[in-house]
Formats: sequence, structure tokens, C-alpha cells
Amino acid sequence: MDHIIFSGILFGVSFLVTFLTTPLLARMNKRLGLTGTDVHKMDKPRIPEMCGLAVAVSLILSATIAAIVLQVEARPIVAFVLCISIAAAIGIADDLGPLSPRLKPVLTAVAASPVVLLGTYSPYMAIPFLGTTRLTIIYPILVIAAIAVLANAINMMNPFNGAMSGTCSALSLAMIVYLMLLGRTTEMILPSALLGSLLAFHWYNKYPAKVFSGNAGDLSVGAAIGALTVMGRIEVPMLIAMIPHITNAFYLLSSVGGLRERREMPYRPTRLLEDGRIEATEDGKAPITLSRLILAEGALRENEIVNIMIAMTIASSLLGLLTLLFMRP
Amino acid sequence: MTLMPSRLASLIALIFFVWLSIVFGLFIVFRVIFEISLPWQSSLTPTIVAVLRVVLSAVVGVTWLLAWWKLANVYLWRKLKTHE
Repeated sequence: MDHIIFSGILFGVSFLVTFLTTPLLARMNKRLGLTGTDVHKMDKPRIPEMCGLAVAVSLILSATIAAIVLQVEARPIVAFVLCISIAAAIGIADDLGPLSPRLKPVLTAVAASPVVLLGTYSPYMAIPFLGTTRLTIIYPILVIAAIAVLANAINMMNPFNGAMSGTCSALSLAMIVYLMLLGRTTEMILPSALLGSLLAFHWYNKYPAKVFSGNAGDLSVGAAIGALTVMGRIEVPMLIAMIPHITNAFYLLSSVGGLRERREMPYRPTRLLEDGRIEATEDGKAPITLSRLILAEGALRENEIVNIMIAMTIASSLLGLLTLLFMRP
Repeated sequence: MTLMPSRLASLIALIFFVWLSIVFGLFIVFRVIFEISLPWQSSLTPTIVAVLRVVLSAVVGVTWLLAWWKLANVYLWRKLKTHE
């Protein structure tokens, strides 16, 4: 079957699976008491947590369908499924009882290991203006570090309703466009499933959120994006597309002086006003984050902040596209 | 959808700076630092060259990060002060 048509079919399948399973998961988690407080609302509602698992389930199902229908090589599919499953398991553990902030990145590096151990990468990395460079020794180490960094960066970029699902939908679309321009239609299949699943999840997670993705959802989506970037050999354009996520993580870690749990940060970067808007704090000890930079010009509503985050991700994805054009032979 | 064009433009300018620094940094690392060789040959030369490449690449990386950090700080405090 034509891979572009199959990508479209898998987009639809993963959209439907996530659209149908998210409310079921939300009901189940609410019954189990797995809820979190929506701190950016005046009435502080309790919202079902860990519903991002619906995205992980949908991706695993889509990857399995792709392997069966297309009879493609099993190794990349197995690596992808293992990567998401391990990341989701780490996220569940973190949601149920917070993991040490120093242990979490180490564990997410373990989630990246199937990509390296099953050899589903190419050490020939394309660099803008310079062509292809061979990084035989250092590349596997970079892959593990990069997937761990991306998964945690996406986890850190989810302070508001719909921030993760909206920005990651833009990243998945960028990935599909990059791969299409490079003519890598087989590699487009799983990003299409990811886009379908994220758009369906965004329906429930957008402002005002009916579900939270939780660490389980954030880490599995981050690991999926990292693994697909490596397998699709689009490392540099995706690094550029993820500038908002990477700089947000870097600003946060630099300003709090390393890996810290939210509870260990006494000063908050933003605060909720009585009219429901959010403003940046002026405390010199509060961490610098992307949301604080966005709010430095004045208070905004939560959905407006997320719209700006999505617009910034689209802008960086366009710069990634420009970078990709410099990389073309 | 409210996007506030001037606010968005400033934030996209920050992204543009980071993009330029990454592209320029990659050029420096792969075209300049990775091409470094020493004028003399000895048994230690390959090791010295490898260490030199790693150290210089790390210097470029740290310079990137410091520039991003400085820019974010200047942006945040200037905007907060203006808004005040």
C-alpha cells in the first residue's frame, strides 16, 4: 500500500482510538482518585490525571498495525514501542509517587536505550551547509542523551491546559512535512499516527481542560518525538523546531541551579490574578521560564499564553524547515 | 485567537537569535574545530587533537548557553520594568 495513503489511514485510526479511550481513562482515573488540581483556575477544580496514556496506547496500537499491514522491518517498530512503553511506565511511577528529580532523567535515558540497542539509527548526521558527518562513536551517546532531554523538556513545557498537546501537535506536523520533503514516506507513518493521537487528545486537554496528560503522557509523547526524530534522521531540523521547549527547560534548570522538584522551588514564576488572568512575578529569585517571558509584557488568560506557545513552536518549526532546505543536496 | 503581534514578534526574535546561534555554532564546530590538526606528528598527536576538539566544541556549547541565558535575563527584566 502507498505509504502516504497508509499514513492518512493511521492518522484517522490513532485519532479515533485516542478520542474514544481518553474519556474512558478519565472516568477510570477519577474513580481511582487519580486527579490533580488545576491551579490556574479560580475554583481550583480536580481534573483526572495520567490521561495522556491514551496517546501512548494509541501509538503502540498504530505501530503494531503498521508492522502487520505493511510488513516493514520489525526492529524500528519494536524500538519505538519499547521506548514509549518504558517512558510511560516511568511517567506512571512519577505520577503515583514523585520520583527524585535527579533520577527521572536517568530513567528516561533507559527509555531511549532500545533505539540504540536495536541499532535503529544512522550515525551519519546531516548538518546545514556542511553535508553529512560521520559520528560513529559519539552518536549512540548523543541519541540516549537527546531523547532523555527532549522527553523531560516536553514534560517541563506543560504548565497550562493544552500546552503539551498543542505544541507537540505542531512538532508532529513539522516532522511529517520534513520527512515528506526528504521523500522518506515510510518514516512518515508513525509521526502521522502521533499527530492524529495528539489532536484528539488536545480536544479534551485544551482550555478549560477536562483531562491532564500527566507525566505518563508527557514523557511518552517526548520519547516518541525523540525516537521518531532519530529514526527519521531529521535531528537538526527537529532540534530547531524544539527551540521553545529546549530553551524553557534550560532557563528553568539554570535559574533554579539544577534538577529540582516543583515543591523544592519556593518562588513561583507566575501567579493567578483575581480576574482569572495570569501574570509574571517580579521576584528576582523566581525561576525564568518561557511562560514568565511571555507574561513579562503583561497578564494574559491561560488560553492566550498557550496560543503564544503554539505560535512560537510553529515559528521555530518554520526555521527548522529553512534549516532543512540548507541541508538538501 | 488573541496573539498580540508585538509580544509575539519579540518572542520570535528570541527564537531567531537562538536559531542563528545554533546554525553558526554547528558551522564553527564541524567546519573549524573538527578540521583542527597539529603541525607535528607523534604517538600522542591523535589523542591531543581529539581532546582539543571536544574541549573547543564544549566551549562553543557553553558560549551558546550563556548567550541564551543573558538574552533571556535582559529581555525579562527590561519588559517587566517597562510594564511596571
